[in-house]
Amino acid sequence: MLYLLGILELAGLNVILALSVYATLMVGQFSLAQVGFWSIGAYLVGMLTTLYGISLALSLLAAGLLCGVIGILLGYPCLRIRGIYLTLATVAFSEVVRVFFHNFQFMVEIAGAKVGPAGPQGFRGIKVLTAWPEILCVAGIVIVVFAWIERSRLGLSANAVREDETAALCSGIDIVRVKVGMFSLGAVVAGVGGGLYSTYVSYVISDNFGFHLALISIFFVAVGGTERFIGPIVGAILLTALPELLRFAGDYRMIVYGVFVLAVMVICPKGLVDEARARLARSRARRTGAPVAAMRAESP
Amino acid sequence: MPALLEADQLNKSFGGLKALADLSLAVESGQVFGLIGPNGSGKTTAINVLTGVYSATSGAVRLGGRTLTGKSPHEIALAGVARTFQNLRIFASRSVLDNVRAAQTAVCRSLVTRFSAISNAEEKALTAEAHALVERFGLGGRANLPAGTLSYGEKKRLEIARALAMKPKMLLLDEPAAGMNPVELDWLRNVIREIGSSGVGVVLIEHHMKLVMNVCDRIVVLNFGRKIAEGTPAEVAADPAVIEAYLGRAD
Repeated sequence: MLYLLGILELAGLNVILALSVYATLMVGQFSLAQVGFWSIGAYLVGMLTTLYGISLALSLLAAGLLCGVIGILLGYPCLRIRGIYLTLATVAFSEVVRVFFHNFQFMVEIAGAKVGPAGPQGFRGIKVLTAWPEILCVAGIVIVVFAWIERSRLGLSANAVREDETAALCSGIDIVRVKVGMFSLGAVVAGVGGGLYSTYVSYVISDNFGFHLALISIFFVAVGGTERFIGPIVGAILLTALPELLRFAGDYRMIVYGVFVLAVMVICPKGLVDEARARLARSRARRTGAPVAAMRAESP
Repeated sequence: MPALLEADQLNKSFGGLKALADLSLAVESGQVFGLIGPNGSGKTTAINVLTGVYSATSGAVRLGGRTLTGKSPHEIALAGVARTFQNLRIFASRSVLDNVRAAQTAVCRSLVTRFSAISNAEEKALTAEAHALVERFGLGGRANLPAGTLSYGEKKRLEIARALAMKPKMLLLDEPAAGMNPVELDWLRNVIREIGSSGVGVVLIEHHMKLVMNVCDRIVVLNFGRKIAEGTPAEVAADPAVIEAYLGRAD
């Protein structure tokens, strides 16, 4: 039972991370800055709760706010560049954050012991305040937010920007605002997620938040799909459960994991959810008639 | 009383290439205004400058007396200038209906409509409008299919429907007839007339001369970015400079 709860908790954290990556993908931008925001949230919430005794909820709020503001400041210059260049810029941001925390020392004496971020040694002794109820609660809120966006005209605008920026512009959509907004939303979600993570594992070190985490977060979205918010959720849950289901394979399980991700990429490059949706749409199109329908002759 | 859309001495250079040279034109509301010329004569560049996709090297664009030059394309769109594209630009993975709805968003009044996931009165009205547009352009049966699954001609029609969803004052059509069969052409001519008679100014870029001569009130002919003729279809068709640009000179 405890083991299952552990998986549930991990899955919840991964869903939050995956949705934060998805937020920028919704506007067609591929960002690896989420890891940076995740670690800012992790350190900030760890410090606020452990060193200053501030409540978890308030600390998470502060982390979300800080990351959101950084997201806006970073988003304006970054989103002027596109494609691989944007991705590189966001990698650079995450590296800057990682190196910062690698050197960040801020020890406070609590009950005779020094606690706080200790540079390369990491941040030990963070108060454990997070377990499955907190994680599920936050993951639930994040999912509701994304469901809301997808149903509203905000999601429509975001998707239009992803599909064709010029057409979106000429349809009156302020693409800079939409892109920076979604980027910043991703930052907020990552900051909150990071805060949950640090108060869950009680120990964070800057090396946790390197390229590996960035790649994993991309896997979630790539396997699940990038077009609907359900995609990253499915991807995150699947890729959290998979290594556990493969425990019988012992040390080979990560190989199987890798092969699985590769297979999904080759067989359904759009991700599992989007592939399923595309197939459904195609079969529906067949039912409603051949795609090249005869034009009706009467005037409109 | 200024014309609805005015271009004043527009110039656009790409490096050493002068794509537009001192182009001036005035389109009245309700007028169907043809912009023709051989390939590479600067027609699409003109539309791109008018809609702000390219910024003009010099010159001014005004809509109802208001200067549009220097504004971003989305601001120009909001001011009332809608367009279609020569190379289709639809939101392929979204449904046909959502393509149309996406273009309504910027012009809808209430913030609730823009941000809420629960539909209010304006949302219901807009969705009904979108349905009507989709129906009018013969896409009713495909409203909920991803736009990417449409045929070429259907995508062209969807682009016009999407442009009209913004309730524009001006509509710029960039080669709408390309790839259309005779039945669709007939239909297109009626649609353009209808849009014009509803009071919207229409700029039509087109190579299909029969359509242009048939539907336009006034025509400007470009060659190498420069206006070589302007007038009614009959005047333009008889202009020796136009015949030379299209067919070359008989020695």
